[in-house]
Amino acid sequence: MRIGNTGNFEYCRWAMEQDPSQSENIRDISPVDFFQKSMVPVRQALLAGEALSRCGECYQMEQHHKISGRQKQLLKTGIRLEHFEKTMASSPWVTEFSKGGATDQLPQDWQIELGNHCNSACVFCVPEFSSRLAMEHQQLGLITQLPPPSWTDDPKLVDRFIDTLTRSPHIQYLHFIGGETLITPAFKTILTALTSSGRNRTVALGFTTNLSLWREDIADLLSQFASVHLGMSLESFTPINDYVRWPVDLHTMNHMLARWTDLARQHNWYITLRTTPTILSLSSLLTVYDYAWEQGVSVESCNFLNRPEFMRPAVLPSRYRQQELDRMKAWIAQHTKDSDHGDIINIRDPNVFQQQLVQDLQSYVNYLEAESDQSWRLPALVQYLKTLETKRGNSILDYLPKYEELFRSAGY
Amino acid sequence: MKNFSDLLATELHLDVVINGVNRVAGLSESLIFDQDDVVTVDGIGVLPEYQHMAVDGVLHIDQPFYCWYHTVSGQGWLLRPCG
Repeated sequence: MRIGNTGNFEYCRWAMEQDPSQSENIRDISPVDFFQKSMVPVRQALLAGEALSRCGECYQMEQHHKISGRQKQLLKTGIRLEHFEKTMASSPWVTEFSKGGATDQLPQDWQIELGNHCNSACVFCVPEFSSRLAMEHQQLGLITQLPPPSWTDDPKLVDRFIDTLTRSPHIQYLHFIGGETLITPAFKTILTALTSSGRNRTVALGFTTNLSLWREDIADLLSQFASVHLGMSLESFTPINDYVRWPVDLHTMNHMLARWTDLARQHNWYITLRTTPTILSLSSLLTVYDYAWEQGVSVESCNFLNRPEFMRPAVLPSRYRQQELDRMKAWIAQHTKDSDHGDIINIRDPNVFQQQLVQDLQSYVNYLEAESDQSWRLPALVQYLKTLETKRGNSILDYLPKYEELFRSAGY
Repeated sequence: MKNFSDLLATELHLDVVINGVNRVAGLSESLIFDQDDVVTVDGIGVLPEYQHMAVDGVLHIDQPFYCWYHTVSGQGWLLRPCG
């Protein structure tokens, strides 16, 4: 289950965005009531064999053999798409499924979106996930009003949520994102409460940071958890990262990457590099896979970026795409082992990180080969970048000179 | 199968091959093999792949095969209902 930045509840962390005001909110309904009552129609639809429109991003990922959120969540109940019927019938949850969508269970797996407090303004991000970008958009006239306040701004709502967590004895996993988790006060508040209640001894906790800062107090709290999944956001080990993940610079990123990795290794945390490949970072994406291969960590992205539409990798025209495809295929050929076979669904199994890397990169090859050319979106991309650059004082041409002709032709 | 009702109405079996001999087992049936057998279940290699899990020369799968396989093949958490 997921609580979004405004306090909106969603049935799944991967469910495609809808207007949060259309969703039920922690201001109006308890997390438990949402899980046990409001989600009944969703469960009924799934039991009836319906394909839900809000599951579209997962279906797209599966089409390109990228392990989807749907697959990952099904796996936690023992269900796999291959052997689907038999694994479902064998699942420990089959008796629960037989209740027609009703349940008296409590959520065991949460994505907790803490709000849009963020010190970064990544070019592919949106105001709903970055307060800094929201301010910038407002100043540039791209939006007229700021996104609604974050639910974690209200201490009573945070307390209500903490109460749910501490009363749920079987919570397995909590994943926190922002904004930037480390600068969001509620992150520390919730970690402290979980530690005080002893939940830190049983809960696996995941969070994502943008590698812009270090927080000793948070590091100390995290070190008290039995299991931590550390996600570190980056797009490239080349200067394009500075442009895409503005204003975090490569030096800071590398310094923080080393520092958080050191802490993670001390405590045997699971490490993953979190990417959001876009048309801008595609050409240096392999630097991330090289690093991951050398360091023995995995690479994970939530989906194939859909919004903003003009940032999608599929906006890259075919003639440019082929160059990237060739390089990706060469990397895959160089790193594939004869023993690799079958899909890795549990992509967080550190024992198979090499196979996971090959599999994940292959999904981008599949995507780029299959998705239609959306280069008609290039003028919108160029217009947006030029608008941002008037305030940031940088130029995409300094970072991606190989695309100068392409961007010029689109109005740069 | 189109929906969950269909699933419940379908009789599902495991296709077990022991040393080249086929047999059918129930989805939740307890399975016992000699550690030196060569075994596949639904085409999934069980022995000798998981020979190291045999005790006193016997590999005893005392839970639904796919739950056991989830665990031994490193698929991560297997959440269970509480209560």
